[in-house]
Amino acid sequence: MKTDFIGDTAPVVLVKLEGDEKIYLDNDLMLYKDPAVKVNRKITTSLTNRIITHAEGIQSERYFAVFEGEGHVAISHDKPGECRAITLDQNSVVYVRWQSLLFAQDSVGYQPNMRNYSKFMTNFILPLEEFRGPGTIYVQAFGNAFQFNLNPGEVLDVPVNNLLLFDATVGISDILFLFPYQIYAQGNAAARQNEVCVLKPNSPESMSVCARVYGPGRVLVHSGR
Amino acid sequence: MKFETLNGYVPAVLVTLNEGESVFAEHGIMLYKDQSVTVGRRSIGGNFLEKMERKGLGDIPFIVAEFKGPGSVAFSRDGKGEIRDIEIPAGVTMDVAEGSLLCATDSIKYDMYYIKGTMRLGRMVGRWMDRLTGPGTAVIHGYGNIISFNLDNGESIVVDYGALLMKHSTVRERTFNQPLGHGLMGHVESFEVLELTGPGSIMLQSIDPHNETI
Repeated sequence: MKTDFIGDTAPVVLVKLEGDEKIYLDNDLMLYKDPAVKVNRKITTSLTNRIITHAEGIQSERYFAVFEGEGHVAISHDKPGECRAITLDQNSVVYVRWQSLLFAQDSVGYQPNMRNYSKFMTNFILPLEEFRGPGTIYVQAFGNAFQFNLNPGEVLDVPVNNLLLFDATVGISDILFLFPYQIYAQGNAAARQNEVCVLKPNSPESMSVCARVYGPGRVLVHSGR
Repeated sequence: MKFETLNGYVPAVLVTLNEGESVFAEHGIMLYKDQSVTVGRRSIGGNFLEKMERKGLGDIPFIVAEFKGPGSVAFSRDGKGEIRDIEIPAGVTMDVAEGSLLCATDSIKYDMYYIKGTMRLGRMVGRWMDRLTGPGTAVIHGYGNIISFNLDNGESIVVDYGALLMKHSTVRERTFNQPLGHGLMGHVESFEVLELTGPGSIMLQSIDPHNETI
């Protein structure tokens, strides 16, 4: 498989498939393909799970389109931002912000990962996608992507909407709610949380939820949301 | 007449008109103009009901504005992307996706062309294209990056429905639902694509303007 990046405003990844190589992606992302490239589907989650996540306000896909056969497929996320290739060793796992995947090789395992951080008086679900090696995945950031390699115990506070990708070895110790935050946290509890979370104090409410991530491992943060 | 592209994240085109020269464009996309440039109107094809249909379903204007020199006038589509100016020889016809034409010289014959949808939910109707016949120059805005191809006679490519920016009128199109594999569910969970068959050149854009996220 060969890949090329085309353009810089809203980049396109051009994938040349050879032999019986396969990739999977959300079908909406296909820009064009050779007619010889076949399209199949890959079920990602049960219909029941999809209904549950949909009820929680997350429009999860139940299937991916699998492209296979000799030829080209061009993939675009309809947005500006950096594209990154992430190579995964056997059984290594990364978590990716929901709907940031461009495509993955068929050898990469997939499952949705909805993390529930709801607490008393709060309700917050962090929708992620889990990818398990071996193989390569391509993700696209909103805007620019910055990589941090955290040592054991090293901590970074990141607004959850700016969290693009992290290794499975990276932990999330807490979800912090910035004050003022009317929906997820209220009163003194929110004020106390605000003391330990200093990122973007003047940002709009939608940016007010921070994840406290700690090493060891790799964290990719993107500048858009 | 001179066309100058003002490059940037959201590009614009600056047109310098000599005395008596004119270009036409949608009036809503003018960025600025000199006071000496006068604005008239030019009716586009079809009867009243056809115009209502295009306006209601495709947001295509009833009329286009005609800008007459001397002076300068700038146009922008308010979107990130690239601008290309295309020389259209006499008798050659190009189809440009709706909402992508910035301006065109007055010598160009303007018409509309309709690409059928597949009548599936969410795409009950197709989309219109501006049909331009030379001679003259047309300036178009592609959302995101523009990718160009030349298709030989009978050569085909399958593209996303929103990716088509421009094509020669000789390029034939067919809208169909691309099934995801075999079986009933594969057909139920299909997605809509365009198959374009040469001969002729095409331009694709990397952002579907209907899905633009930032």
